[in-house]
Amino acid sequence: MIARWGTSFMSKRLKALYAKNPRQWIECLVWLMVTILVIVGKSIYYANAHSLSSDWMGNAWICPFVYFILNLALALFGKDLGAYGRLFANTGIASLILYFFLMGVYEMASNYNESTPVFLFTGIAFLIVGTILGVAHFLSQKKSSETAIQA
Amino acid sequence: MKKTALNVVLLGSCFALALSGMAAFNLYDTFVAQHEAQAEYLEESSSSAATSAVTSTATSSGTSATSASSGTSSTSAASTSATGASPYASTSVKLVSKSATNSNGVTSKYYIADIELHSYDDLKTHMVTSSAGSPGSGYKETVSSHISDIKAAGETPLVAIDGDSAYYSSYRKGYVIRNGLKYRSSYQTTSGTGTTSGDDFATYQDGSAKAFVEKTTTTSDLIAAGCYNCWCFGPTLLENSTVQVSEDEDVYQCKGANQRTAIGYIDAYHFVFFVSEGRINNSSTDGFSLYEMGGLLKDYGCTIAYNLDGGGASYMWYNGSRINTSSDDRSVGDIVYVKAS
Repeated sequence: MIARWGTSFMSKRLKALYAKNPRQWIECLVWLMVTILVIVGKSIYYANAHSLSSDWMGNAWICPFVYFILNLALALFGKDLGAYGRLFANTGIASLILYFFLMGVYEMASNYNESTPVFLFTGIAFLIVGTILGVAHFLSQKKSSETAIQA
Repeated sequence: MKKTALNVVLLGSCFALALSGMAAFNLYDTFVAQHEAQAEYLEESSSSAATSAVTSTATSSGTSATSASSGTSSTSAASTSATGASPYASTSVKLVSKSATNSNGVTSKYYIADIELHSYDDLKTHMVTSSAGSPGSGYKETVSSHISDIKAAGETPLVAIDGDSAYYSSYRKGYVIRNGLKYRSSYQTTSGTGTTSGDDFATYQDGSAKAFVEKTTTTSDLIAAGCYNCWCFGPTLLENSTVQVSEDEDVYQCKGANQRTAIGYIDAYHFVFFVSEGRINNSSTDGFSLYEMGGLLKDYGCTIAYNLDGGGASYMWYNGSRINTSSDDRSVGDIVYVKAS
């Protein structure tokens, strides 16, 4: 649908970039929106937190933003992490965002839950698995393209 | 390719469900579920440490207490009581009702119980606990039920206010010392404001009181210094007769103007309880901010003042009946009270 309607405004150069790996560009768009949502979510929470704030929640947007930049770089080169790599990495980032948000909520409520770091560890573990799967996919892509050139 | 996409969607859904479930449980476990306190429950202070602390603290404290002491038969007892004795022949409470206009231009009433203590242990706390004596987020009752419990234990309460709700959540941290017993030794963070300020307030066996940042000391050191009660709500409103809070500083979930509860210290054995009305006409304009409350307590003559649990929990009981009217009759885990000596 995006290929049919969403690229009508794009220049030829942008269309060529998009055509390299449309799925990856959609991934970029999704993470940009997640970054904006995290900032909006934080602002809404702050508005009702009676002038309290927390660095945990305030900096939560960095996670999806960094991931957006990474996805943007991959999209510019027409690459991606592969279905499973993307799945694990996305889950890892989601877990990290939850961790930052929960820590912010607890800090402002003068509270803490000892099981909250589970989100941090889960996030890191999933990111590592996602990276490994992504690199494996990357290498297999490279190998298959080399084979195609040789053939 | 289609199979891979289906697998990814299924696996992704499982991950999303698991993450949301974990987050929901985490929030439920923190804010809703009730737990008993586990950490460092009931570590009784050693009497020798407390006695030596009284002597040492009293040496550096005011001489008026020394001159007011009456002779005792035992030398060691005399040195202890002479340095830390109360200048008041009996414990008495005078209730003062006042009103002031806050920054919103709304006039609200507040009540000050002016307390003169004959003995440091006439200013006490009462906590609801399990049958084994363990406090926890599940143990709460109304202030009037607290009063009934105190009377049933054979004491005559003169005035009472709600306390610091030290156990409103099982994950809440902060030093808890009550009537000379140490209940919790984990300190709060010091990065925030309000209840996350990490400020504590302690009363001592020489009749003095002190406000301090938790992280700078330990409960063992407090006990050794003769601490009898330590509260962990905050923030500190007044120290050395100077207001310590900024104009916009507040406690989580509170408005700028609100019902408030505080405890203040004027001089050795001379304390005040403060409770204000609020939310009568408009929840965001009635009552006082922390800054305004600090100013009111300073005007009254307090040198130290400390914020306790306010809002719907604010409650003052005096001479058999409730004094403030605008807050809920909320169940609370602990109260601060003065008993007749």
